[in-house]
Amino acid sequence: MNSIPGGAWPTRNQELLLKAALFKGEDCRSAWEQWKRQNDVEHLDDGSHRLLPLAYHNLCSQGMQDGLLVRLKSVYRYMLTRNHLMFHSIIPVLKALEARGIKTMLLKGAALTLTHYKNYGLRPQLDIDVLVPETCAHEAIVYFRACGWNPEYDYPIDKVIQFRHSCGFDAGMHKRIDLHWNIFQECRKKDIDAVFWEHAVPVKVNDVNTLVLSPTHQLLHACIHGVKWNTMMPCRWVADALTILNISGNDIHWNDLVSLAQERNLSFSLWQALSYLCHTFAAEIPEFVLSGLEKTPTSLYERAEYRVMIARKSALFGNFFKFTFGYAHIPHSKNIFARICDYIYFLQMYWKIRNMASMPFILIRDGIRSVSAKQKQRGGK
Amino acid sequence: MPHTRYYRINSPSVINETIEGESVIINLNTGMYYSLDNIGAIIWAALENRHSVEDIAAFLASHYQIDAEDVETTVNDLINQLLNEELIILLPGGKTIDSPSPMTFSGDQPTVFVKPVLNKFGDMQDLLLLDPIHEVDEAGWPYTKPNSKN
Repeated sequence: MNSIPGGAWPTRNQELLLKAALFKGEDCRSAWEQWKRQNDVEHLDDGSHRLLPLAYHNLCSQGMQDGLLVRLKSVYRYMLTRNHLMFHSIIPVLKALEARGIKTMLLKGAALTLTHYKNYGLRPQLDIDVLVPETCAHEAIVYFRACGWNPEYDYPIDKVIQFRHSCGFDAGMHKRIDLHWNIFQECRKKDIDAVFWEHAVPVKVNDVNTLVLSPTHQLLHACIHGVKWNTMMPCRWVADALTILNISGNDIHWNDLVSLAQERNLSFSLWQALSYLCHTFAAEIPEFVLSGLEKTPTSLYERAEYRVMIARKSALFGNFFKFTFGYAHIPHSKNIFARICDYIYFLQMYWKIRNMASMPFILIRDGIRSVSAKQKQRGGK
Repeated sequence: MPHTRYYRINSPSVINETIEGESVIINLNTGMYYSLDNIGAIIWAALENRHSVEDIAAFLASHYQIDAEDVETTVNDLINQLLNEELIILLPGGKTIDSPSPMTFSGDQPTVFVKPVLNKFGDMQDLLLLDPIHEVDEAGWPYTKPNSKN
């Protein structure tokens, strides 16, 4: 069992499972055999668990005979059912938003399930990500609340829209939607997402019209969203990015990809992600893309933010630095006093503290708990 | 002359997938999960391709060298169950596909004719609480271990 409780990049074992899930022929077989020798399916980390349906499907499609596939099939059937239920739950929501004249776009797993995996069982997801135009975010949130969807951030709507790029909503088991009004947390400027809407591709969920990002934009999104520290060790983004490249590789507009990343100060993150895919999985990324991104001048700030985003949560400060970098992307008032007030409110919202007066005490309490938990963990080792 | 009956899957409320010869069927409206294997999966696939009950029975009777009337009774029994569970719908206008794809066996075909069984699983919300690795029996999710919490 892997003892690392999180990461920004796949572990060696996860890389083997990714190869078993995505490669063909001997490369797939040898990765699978090696993975089996080093892992016990009874004791897997969550990141690996999420890859099992894809591995099952890939191994079966190549006629692989293995007793362990029955266990993987079990996870595949489970995910297939759960995803069908999730998609079913969003149909009335998409219809209602469409009836209100609000455009919607599916992001991440939901979009990739329809456009690339083309199989509901292959891409596990905890929620369905739906993007609406920023100008419609308020109306969409009002609709969700009125229909009994519980918001992850139950704060005044204008504040939620100002401080966040998305908000989760929950209406019971397997009815979870992450409503976005900006695609990237790092890019919150007005109209910055217009290009994504302009090139969006129409799709249907049953008979409901919606959109998904173009393949180029899906690749950008998968890479930028994926390479971040996550307690679940995010290896799913690697499967997503490689699947996009395998199926839509010829439709990727590489020059546009580089320009988009440069305009959004995301070139360093994208370079890291694409280099990893190229070197570890032999992904076919044109050399000019990698060299172009590598040579793009990046500020110290951009690199510092990247380092913070891939770093594990601090025992003492928690996600304070991550939140602070996130705050820096929000359009601000010029009034310094208003900015300080906003920052405090922003932290209050991210830490989900209801009463501002209790904030210092809660932070001290959580800090002590976090440090003592860390010490216990060290003592345990 | 008896009226020829054709059915269709009750989509979009009902979705189905074939996994290694097993038909997995989900009624999204009722939250029930079903599975059919062997002969049941063959009949389901034939219904999906708009073959008539009579055609299905004749195909199976011919393949297994058994009495066509007995097979038709068996097929009708399964169809009645599928209708009761609202998984299929009788097509009022009769045949809607001029030339449905020919009936064939896909994957490992059963060597003997076995009466099909529609496996029905309870509330999906409970089933989805099961861990598909640790809380299921050898057949995998949604077959629970006898001592499972669900």
